[in-house]
Amino acid sequence: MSDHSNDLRLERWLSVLLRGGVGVSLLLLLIGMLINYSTTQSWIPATDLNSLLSGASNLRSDPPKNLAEFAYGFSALQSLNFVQGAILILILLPGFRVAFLFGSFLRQRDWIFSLFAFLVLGFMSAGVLFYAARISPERF
Amino acid sequence: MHEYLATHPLAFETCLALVSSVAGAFGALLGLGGGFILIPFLTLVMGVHIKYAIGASLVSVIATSSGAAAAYVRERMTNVRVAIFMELGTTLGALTGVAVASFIAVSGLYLLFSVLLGWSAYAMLRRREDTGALREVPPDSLSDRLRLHSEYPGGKNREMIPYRVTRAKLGLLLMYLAGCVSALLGIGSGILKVPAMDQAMRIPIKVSSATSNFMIGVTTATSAGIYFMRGDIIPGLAGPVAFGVLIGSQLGSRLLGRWSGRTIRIIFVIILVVVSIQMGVKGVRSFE
Repeated sequence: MSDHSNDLRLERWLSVLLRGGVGVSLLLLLIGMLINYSTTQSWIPATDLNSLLSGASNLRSDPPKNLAEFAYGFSALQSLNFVQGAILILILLPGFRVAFLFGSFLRQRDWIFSLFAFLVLGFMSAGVLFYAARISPERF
Repeated sequence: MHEYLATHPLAFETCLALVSSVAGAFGALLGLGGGFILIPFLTLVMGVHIKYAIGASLVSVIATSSGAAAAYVRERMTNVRVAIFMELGTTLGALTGVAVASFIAVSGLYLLFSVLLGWSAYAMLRRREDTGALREVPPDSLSDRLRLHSEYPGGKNREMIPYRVTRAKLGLLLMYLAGCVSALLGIGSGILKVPAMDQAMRIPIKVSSATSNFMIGVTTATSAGIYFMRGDIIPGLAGPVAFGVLIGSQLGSRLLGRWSGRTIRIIFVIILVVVSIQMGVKGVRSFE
């Protein structure tokens, strides 16, 4: 297979991955919004909103700690879990994108770009570890 | 208005989603992310603390990046090989910036980059637009070896126009500096990536913008993940922002194909000038 058709194939699949991730994220946001509009739930309670718009800096919104907590929130139709799930997917998508490129370049035996993608993944992981080391453990 | 929104979460979320869709459209169009609209709106208009505004802005950058990249990659507007090569520089630069942040006085840097951005605006404005033919650029063996040259749908009828990339090493160095500076000064790196690709590597403005869009998500993902784990991403802000930006970025990605390179260049130059002035003011104030 020529380099050009390899590139086209890679771009097609990359676009599918991105559209899939964005689509799932949008779907979760839409479900969360529907729950908000049809029940008394909200992504932010009125009291917190008032504090937020008054410049408060002591608000926190801890995400579910594991998949089981996410699953429970989804099954209980908690709109907060849907929006947190959507945000998590968006945050993970760039990493998945680079991992996908790494796998695709390996498959094409494009060793130089496989190495580039691997290094980018490494730098991203190092960034997470670096930040995590600077945050006190009780915040997790 | 502010008081009404402060007591009506649904109205606030709807208003924020609308503003975010505008941010997403411009962010996707210019390869910037959208934080340049959202942060001033949240902090100056809505009175939100900067920490939460940054958290929401990080989500907006990632949402713009993924939302627009899905369309740009399909249309072959993004140069994926350039993006992954340049990401080496930006991710390493961001790491360096975070590591040296506590040892560097940034006041001088503000002024330096204010001047640099002003110069970039001038140089971008002077540059001629693509005519449709394959442009002559200085030969570059690294770009040849890495097969960075490509084509994009930039013709009047969206026919493919080939282009050649040059000065890959200089581009990588500039991306490293962009990553470093954005981590040090807390500015979006798209504002530095687009001029670097446009001027140093002679990549067409539309491709520079689309490729920058693809890259900013990767550069931002690390800090967004940390903000999320720390609980500093407030769903009441980030949810409407993500929704609005994802919708807006789809619109922006359509506009990129339709608007001329010159129009995009002029809008980008205006934003460069505004950011340059902002940084200059910050730099002068930090000496006071």
